[in-house]
Amino acid sequence: MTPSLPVSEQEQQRQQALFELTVLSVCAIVLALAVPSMLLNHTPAIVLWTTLLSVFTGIPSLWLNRRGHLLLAGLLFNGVFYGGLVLNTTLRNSAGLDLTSMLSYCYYAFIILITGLTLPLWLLWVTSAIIIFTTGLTLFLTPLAPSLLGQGVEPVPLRFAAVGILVTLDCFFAVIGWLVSRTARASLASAQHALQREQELVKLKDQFIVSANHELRTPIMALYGNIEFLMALGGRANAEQANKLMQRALNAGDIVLGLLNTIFEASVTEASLPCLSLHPVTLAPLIKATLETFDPREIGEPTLAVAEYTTRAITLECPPTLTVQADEKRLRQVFLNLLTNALKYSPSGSPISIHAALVQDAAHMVRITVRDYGLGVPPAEAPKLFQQFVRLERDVAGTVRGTGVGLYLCRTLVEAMGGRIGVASSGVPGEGSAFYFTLPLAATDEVTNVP
Amino acid sequence: MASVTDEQCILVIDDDLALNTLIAESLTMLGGYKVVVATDGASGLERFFEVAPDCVVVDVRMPGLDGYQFVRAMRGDGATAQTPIVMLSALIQENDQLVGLLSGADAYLLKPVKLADLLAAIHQAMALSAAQRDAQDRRRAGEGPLGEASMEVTE
Repeated sequence: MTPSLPVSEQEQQRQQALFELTVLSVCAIVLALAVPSMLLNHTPAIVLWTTLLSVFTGIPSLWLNRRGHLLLAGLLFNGVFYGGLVLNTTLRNSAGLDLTSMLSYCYYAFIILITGLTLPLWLLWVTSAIIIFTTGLTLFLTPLAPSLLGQGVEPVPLRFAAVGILVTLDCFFAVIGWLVSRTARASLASAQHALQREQELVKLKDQFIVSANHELRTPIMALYGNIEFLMALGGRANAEQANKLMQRALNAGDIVLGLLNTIFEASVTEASLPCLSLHPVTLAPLIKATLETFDPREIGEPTLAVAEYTTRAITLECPPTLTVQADEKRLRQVFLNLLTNALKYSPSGSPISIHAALVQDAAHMVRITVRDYGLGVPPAEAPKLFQQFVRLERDVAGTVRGTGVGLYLCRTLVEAMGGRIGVASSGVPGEGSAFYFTLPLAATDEVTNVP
Repeated sequence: MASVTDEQCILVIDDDLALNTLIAESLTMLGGYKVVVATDGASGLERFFEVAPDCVVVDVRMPGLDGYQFVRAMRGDGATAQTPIVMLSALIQENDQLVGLLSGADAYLLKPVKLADLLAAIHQAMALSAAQRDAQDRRRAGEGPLGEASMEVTE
């Protein structure tokens, strides 16, 4: 399935309609202007018949066009029309160049117009070149009619003027054709791009639903299971055991709730951005508090017998008074998200470092970095990470659970608070990645003194 | 719950710690089984050949070796090919259940599953595999179950 199909089909329909319109108009113009003047001027019968033939070639070419053979239709109509015109002008020129035969060169511009509007661009240039060349050549080489010379016209300026006017006309039509096809191409490309993006988003949403479903089912089973276990044990469970099972059920409930919150927040973030309340927030206590609220199991305390865990070395490097202008709740959320990712995507036991300092080349901004030594992010895929519902192919196939919403949420929040978010990673597993975001420094005297 | 004669051993492989703990403890305390746990496919396979369990409960989505690959690796080995497998999954695509069963699992349960159902599935899978093993043994030993039966009648 190619995503471009419906768009290019539409474009073809548009071109076919345009071809129909231009051919009909040209035929109407020729019938209304050229044929009556021929009849009045007693032009040779052959000229009249070839003109009519050119006009009636419109019928098969319109039929071809309807059948979808636009190129063939264009070539047929333009070819016959051009042939008719050449014959027409040659016969008229046999008596020498006069004003009416010069005027008949105007009709060549229609061919350029039809080509430009409906046929491929290269054909436009070829057609224009041929017509301009032959027009110039014949106008310069054909002797002037006695009727013109008799009026005492200077032959050279007349030729130059005629060629100038006609070539300008041809060029004008060629440029119009080129502009139209260029605009059509640009809008076609942007429509295709939009469609592709749309389809991508639909795919991502589907993927999101699958992974959200997966995410929810596991903790729900833990929630039910612990309660069921407790009930099944009945009198056999002592108070300590019962307490432990209830606590586990509650933890599972928290995970379910947390996930629901993330999903919900991802959908309302954009609408709720005006609700941000920006105040000076001192970073160090906030980071420490966030670290403390973290589940010790994820930080790595050996609480469970099922797997060996080693405590992670988490280092925090942050000037004690460094203060940013932010919404405290949202800032905590961003930080929590980045830290959770660092924990999720790096092996247990590997260190994590958190670093906050003034940005060197923009002293009014603070940069907070969360660095892990896990899988890292392939540099080519890094920008995609911050889009909605996007997860790396590797992670979708892998086991680390996620919904593809967290980093999008972080980006939206950080940008709403006046900062930027990004990631630096070599993509080499083990070298990890450094997710950073910037926030404006709070405007207090005490803080600006921080080195 | 099921009382067990000589303690049967069950290998539980799930990367979710909370669930792993829950299943392990409930199988021990409610089912009376001996339980060995692993948190990913590769170490699960290692434990599998180490302890030769009577049944395996395995999650589908896991680090490294996933549930399907685990089953295939396990079924490929002649000595262990008969071990009953209960697959546990949170995946929701329509053909997941089919893929799970085709890959060789004896039961395929969709999370969240009740502990009672999980215990029942384990029990059933083990009973079925024991019956199959019996039938095979008899076929190998004598002229097959039908021949045996007809001999008994004529005697």
